[in-house]
Amino acid sequence: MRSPARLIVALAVAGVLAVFLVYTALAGTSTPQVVPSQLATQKPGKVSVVGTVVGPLRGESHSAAGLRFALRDIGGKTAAVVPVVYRGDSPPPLFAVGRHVVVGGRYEGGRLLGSSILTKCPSKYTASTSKS
Amino acid sequence: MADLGRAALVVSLGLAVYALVAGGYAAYAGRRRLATSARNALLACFGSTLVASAVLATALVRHDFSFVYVASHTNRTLPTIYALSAFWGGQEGSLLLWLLVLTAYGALAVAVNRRLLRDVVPWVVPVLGGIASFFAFVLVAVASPFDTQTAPVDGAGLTPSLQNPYMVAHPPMLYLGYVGLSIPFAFAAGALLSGRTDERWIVATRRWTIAAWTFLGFGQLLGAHWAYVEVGWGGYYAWDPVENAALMPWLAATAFLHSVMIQERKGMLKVWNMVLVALAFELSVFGTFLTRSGVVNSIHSFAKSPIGGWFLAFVVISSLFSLGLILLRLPLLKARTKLESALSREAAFLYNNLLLVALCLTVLWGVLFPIVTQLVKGESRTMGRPYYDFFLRAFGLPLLLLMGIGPLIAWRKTSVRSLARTLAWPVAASAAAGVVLVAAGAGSSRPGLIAYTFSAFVLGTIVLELVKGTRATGSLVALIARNRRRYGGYVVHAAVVLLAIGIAGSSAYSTTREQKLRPGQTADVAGYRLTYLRTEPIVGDPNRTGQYAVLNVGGRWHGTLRTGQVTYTGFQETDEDVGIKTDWLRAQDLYVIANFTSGSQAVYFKILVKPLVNLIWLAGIVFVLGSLVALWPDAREQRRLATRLAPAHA
Repeated sequence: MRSPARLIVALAVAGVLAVFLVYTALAGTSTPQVVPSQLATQKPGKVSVVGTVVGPLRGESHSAAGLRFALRDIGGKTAAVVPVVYRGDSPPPLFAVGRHVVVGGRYEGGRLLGSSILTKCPSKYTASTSKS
Repeated sequence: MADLGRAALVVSLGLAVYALVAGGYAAYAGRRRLATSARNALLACFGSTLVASAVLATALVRHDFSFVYVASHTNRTLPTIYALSAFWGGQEGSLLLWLLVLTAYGALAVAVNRRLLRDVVPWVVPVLGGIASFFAFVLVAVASPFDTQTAPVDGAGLTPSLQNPYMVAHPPMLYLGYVGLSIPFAFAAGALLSGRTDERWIVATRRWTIAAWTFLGFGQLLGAHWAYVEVGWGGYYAWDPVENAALMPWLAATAFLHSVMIQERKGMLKVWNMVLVALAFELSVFGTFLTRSGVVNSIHSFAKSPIGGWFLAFVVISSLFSLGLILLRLPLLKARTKLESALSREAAFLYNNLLLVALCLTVLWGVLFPIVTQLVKGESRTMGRPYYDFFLRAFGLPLLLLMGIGPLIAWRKTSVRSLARTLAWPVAASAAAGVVLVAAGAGSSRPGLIAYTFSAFVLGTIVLELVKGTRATGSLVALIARNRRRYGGYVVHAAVVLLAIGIAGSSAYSTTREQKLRPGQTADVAGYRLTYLRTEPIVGDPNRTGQYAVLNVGGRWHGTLRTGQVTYTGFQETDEDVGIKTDWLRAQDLYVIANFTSGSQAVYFKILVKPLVNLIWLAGIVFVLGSLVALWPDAREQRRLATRLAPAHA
């Protein structure tokens, strides 16, 4: 009797591909991820922006006007900043001016309408500010 | 001091290169004395790396800020344990730890197996020497922990949220796992190079593989628990590239641990095992490339550095080496037997492997997707949580089911009727569990209900196996002692079931509510009644400023819960001090985070009730216990294997 191993592998690969196709057809929507300086060329729509929080922080996320701040490129090689209006749950506790964040939302009318904020975890040792 | 560290690393590099070059020549030319010399060089390389490590550890404990590394990662107020943990906190130190563990593992594994695998070990030495040469080179030429400067008054210090016992243990656990995967890889390569591709290299490295896999798995759970209690977002795994970097080699190693059993027993899947062990090793190095190169965006702020390119080059070269070697030795990797039926234990192992590898490659695709889209479309696109969750369900749930079926199905072949008879009780148990769960309201989440039902099925099969075995041997202890690997495996399976129940419960059935409360106001969430009493500022603490919200909790639990935001002196970062009340009876947490930014007396509270989340942490303990059972020396099994593999020695 011929070994069914090849048939099993072939069926498995076909199955995985089928699952991929179903996923991409039904639910597979990836999101463009850009930095603030790239937003100028971005079409309006869903986007995820990685940047450094620029103050002042105004308003609060639960109000109709939302929490307002700006984002600039991490490292700050360009002066480009994008204004952000974030509405939703309270931002994460690590959220503050100067933090590196990923804001998800929609880019519309030159503004980022944020619906989620991820602050970068302190996975590295960072410098203290008050030491001489 | 720094000169001694630098010199020790240069010696390590020289010895590693000697082990590579002289060891390679000795193995090729059959020069036994030179091979012994190369093996000794590997041991000496461990010695010199130990000296370099001692220099760095001493500098860290002494707060010797003339070392750039020490000044960048510690300060005078840092407790000694955290100063010492800075050894693996920064890039250069973690690379030194990698080399130290690699040379220690390598020297020991080679010494232990030099007689058993007399013909393979001479080829293992140059492979390990090659890997060690790469790390020693990076430490000497690219990222030295021994760069010096004029000592500043104090160092930069350590981010407060990392001053946590979990962060002392989590990184070295991962490193022990990553580096441990080098050993089976080196022995596999040694077997291919020597042409001795029988099962002995698998037997020789089995415990090394299990140990590395255990460290990697437990290390990830420690990291998840740290994120849960310390970061304050209510989750424990974010499918971030840095987290996925540890998950991928673990998945590949899990597949390998299962498929080697088929090779040991049936002489099948030889090529597949070589591919898996190489994949696990390459992914462990690739993970370091991902975290250090900055090619993908991560929520973990690892420092970008020039070592990324070196790691990529190493991954490419070592992958080509592995692939070339496997192709070259294909004639030696023919299976002794063939798969007889798609309904057999061998086939179940194969399905398990395909699902694990599919999950691993799916995660890899998600991680690489931004790079691929950037290259192809000129626009970086990311796969979000829904992508990973979808595939975790698509591949994880069938895997869970197979975990129950696999151990009960007969070797070679079985009939559908026989299989149905064997599985009748576990199926009945899972069906009953399903009915009870639907009655209890668990039907609100279909994936959750499936995960629970499958978990009940797997637990049913484990119990059935233990009952049958205990009846045959007369004692559970005697049963486990007879085949520690098998029953240790069942304990690990039970841990995976706990993990699945914990993940399903805490994600599919959790309740989250964010509510603005003024003092005296109340929120009702999932059976808990929380009344905000007052805010208490931190006073009289020179190291901390901030405030705590005090809540009175009624309903399912009565007591007081405090949650606050704390800023440590000298650091910009505000830490969330999460209020967690664990209900051990339900294994669930009441998890409260306070946000004081409203500018008034009112506080926004994010209140989460996470059913069964504590089973995830319990799974970690059971996982380690199961691994220890499997790792425990088993003379009977050794004799069995010696008998089975005897023809291979000839």
